[in-house]
Amino acid sequence: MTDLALPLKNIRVLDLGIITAGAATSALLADLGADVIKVEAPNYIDPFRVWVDFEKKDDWWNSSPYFNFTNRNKRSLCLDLKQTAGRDIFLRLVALSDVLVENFRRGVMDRLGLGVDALRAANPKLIVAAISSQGETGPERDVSSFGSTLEATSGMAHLAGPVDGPPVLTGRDLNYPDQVVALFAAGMIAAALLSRRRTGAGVHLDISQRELTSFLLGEQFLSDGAMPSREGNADRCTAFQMIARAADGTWIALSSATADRSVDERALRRTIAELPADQALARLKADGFACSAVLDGEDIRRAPWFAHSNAFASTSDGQSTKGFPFQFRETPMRVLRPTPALGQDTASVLGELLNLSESELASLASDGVIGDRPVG
Amino acid sequence: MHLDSQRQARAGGTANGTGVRGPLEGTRIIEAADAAAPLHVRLAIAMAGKIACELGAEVTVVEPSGGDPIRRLPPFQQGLDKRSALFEFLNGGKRAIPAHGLSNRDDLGADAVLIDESVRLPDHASAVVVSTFGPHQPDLREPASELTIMAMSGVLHLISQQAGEPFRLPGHQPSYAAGLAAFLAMTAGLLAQRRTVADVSVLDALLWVNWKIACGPLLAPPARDRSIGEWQAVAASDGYVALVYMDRDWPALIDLVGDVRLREPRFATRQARLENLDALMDLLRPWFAARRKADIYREAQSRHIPLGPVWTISDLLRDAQYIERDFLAATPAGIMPRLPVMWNGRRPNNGESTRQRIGSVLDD
Repeated sequence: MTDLALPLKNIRVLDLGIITAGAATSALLADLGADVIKVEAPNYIDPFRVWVDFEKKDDWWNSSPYFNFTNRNKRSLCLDLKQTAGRDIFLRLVALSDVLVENFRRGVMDRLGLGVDALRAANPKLIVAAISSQGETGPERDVSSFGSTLEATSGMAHLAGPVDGPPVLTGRDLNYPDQVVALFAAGMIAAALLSRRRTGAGVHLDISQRELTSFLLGEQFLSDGAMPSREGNADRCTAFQMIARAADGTWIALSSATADRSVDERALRRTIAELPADQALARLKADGFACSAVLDGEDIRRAPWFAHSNAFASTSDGQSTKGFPFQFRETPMRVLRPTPALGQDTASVLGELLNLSESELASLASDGVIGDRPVG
Repeated sequence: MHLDSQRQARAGGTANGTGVRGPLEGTRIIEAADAAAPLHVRLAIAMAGKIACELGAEVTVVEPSGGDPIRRLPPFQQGLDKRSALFEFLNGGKRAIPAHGLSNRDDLGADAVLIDESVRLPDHASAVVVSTFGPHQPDLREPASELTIMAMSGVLHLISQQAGEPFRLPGHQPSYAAGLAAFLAMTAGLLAQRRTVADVSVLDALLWVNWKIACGPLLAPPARDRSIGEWQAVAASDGYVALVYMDRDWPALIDLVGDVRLREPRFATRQARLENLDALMDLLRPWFAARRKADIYREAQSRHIPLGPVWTISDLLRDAQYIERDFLAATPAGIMPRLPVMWNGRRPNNGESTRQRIGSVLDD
């Protein structure tokens, strides 16, 4: 069975990733078989734990669906990196690890005494994936932003929305640049591991979310002389497409790769507006259009194909959770560990990897270096 | 170990990597898609291959008879030959060979292939098979497009003006997100040191990106429908600004705009602001409309408010951050973004692949 291990078996990842960009990158590495240790502190927890308005129960910090969807398949270490003892322990873990992922605001790692030079001094073979809004350098490296800010500053928002109206943003429920960067960063880490296998040397990856968002519009930069603008829902690569509203209020997206551009759009809108969605969709399919209702979350969970989608999965205790963006045929990725409670694995990680004794752990706990709940 | 040794030998790799131009140098990758493959599948494959190429891999595109259909797709460049900017962006630095005359793609000695579901799996190389819905969706066989995939994934549900028509993500985001997933699947397969086969569904890749849509029903209010418009583009005197802020930024936003009415209880909490969104925007719009987007950006950033100007592509060509980081490359095809990563402080492969132009079928 060892021949069929997941690709990142035997790779250890220290995960300082927070919210989506960093934490989802590490989750992908965990899905691929890596031992991912998520590191938070008693005085600094992943903000995703508090992103949701809900009644604060005794263990509210373990209850956020956003956090729990993003951090399954990991282990949890709760260690105060601001204390000297915590930082020293962390650097000992760095020496035993292959990858470190972080997406703090620029400068935080340096202030913790954990800048790239310190990390590489502890482990020259370490792959450091630093994910940030703007990158590690440049005049805007310290600006504040969220994913939708980057849609604006990357050129994406300028191209999204109605031809004759304002740009639209994906908003805090999607935050598109935060999602795609995890796919990209995990790919760069895998490439860096391949490179390290050949060279033996560690790699510092400096990944800018804003640059990635512009990169994903690359052809627009090349069409120089005719600066692009918003096209609404049309697409010049597709002969005809639009979104129209059916009689029951459902929005329907339709397109045709072959339809004559002289399709009477107004007449088609009228036809769709007179039919309930299911009849409109049947009619459009019969006429050769690719089409779908615009689905919301409830629609997706009810769709017959939802159960077969790799994108969602179940934990061992039956809870719905995030799945995978692709799947291997021989060794499918699985959610093997539910999201750990804060600090759930602190003792086992430090005992197993650093041979810390129970008395040493107790001393660290009494000093507030390790913990299992937020403080302050 | 066998495949890895082959790659290392091709790269001429030494222990310290001397002479290696890119992290994936020595890795051979083939892209092949049937002429009838859906556009989003073809684009996803091309994006995965592009990333590999930028990292120094040797990438060969097997073009169907008549050439890759992407060659004929807009946007087109403004030069005399009006080449496809889409094709140039995705294929710079790759080799192209015609499909006819190839009896066995393993003969090309690939480490990995990126293919659509109609192409035969290779005997030895690892494979990434890209399709619209994946191999395990027997009920989904209908035609699809990037727009309908965005509809099925819930992305369109989230992007609209208040209670209005949904709008698509610009460009080819479903395909490119799947391309990022395909690249990860391919490199993970290469790390496995054995032949692997991975399936990438464009729908699943976008659903993965939009995972909160299915998480949503587990959450308490405020519901997502009501949060549409919470972050929105607001007109400035010379364009638009994306008004993005979190609860903690609200006091700073009040200070920025300086209107005491924003301190009223109807705007005191996130929920209250969502319930009174129209009134809130009526108060905010005049302040933004009287200022240039760059000035708004500067003033907001001085208060750590994460709003940002809606830059155009033209704005970005002279963007100080992009210039400082050498992000945009002058290529024979025009200005093009480089791979968005600094690899030990430099662009991988020194950006060489970005600068090259693909050969045509006839050239090769």
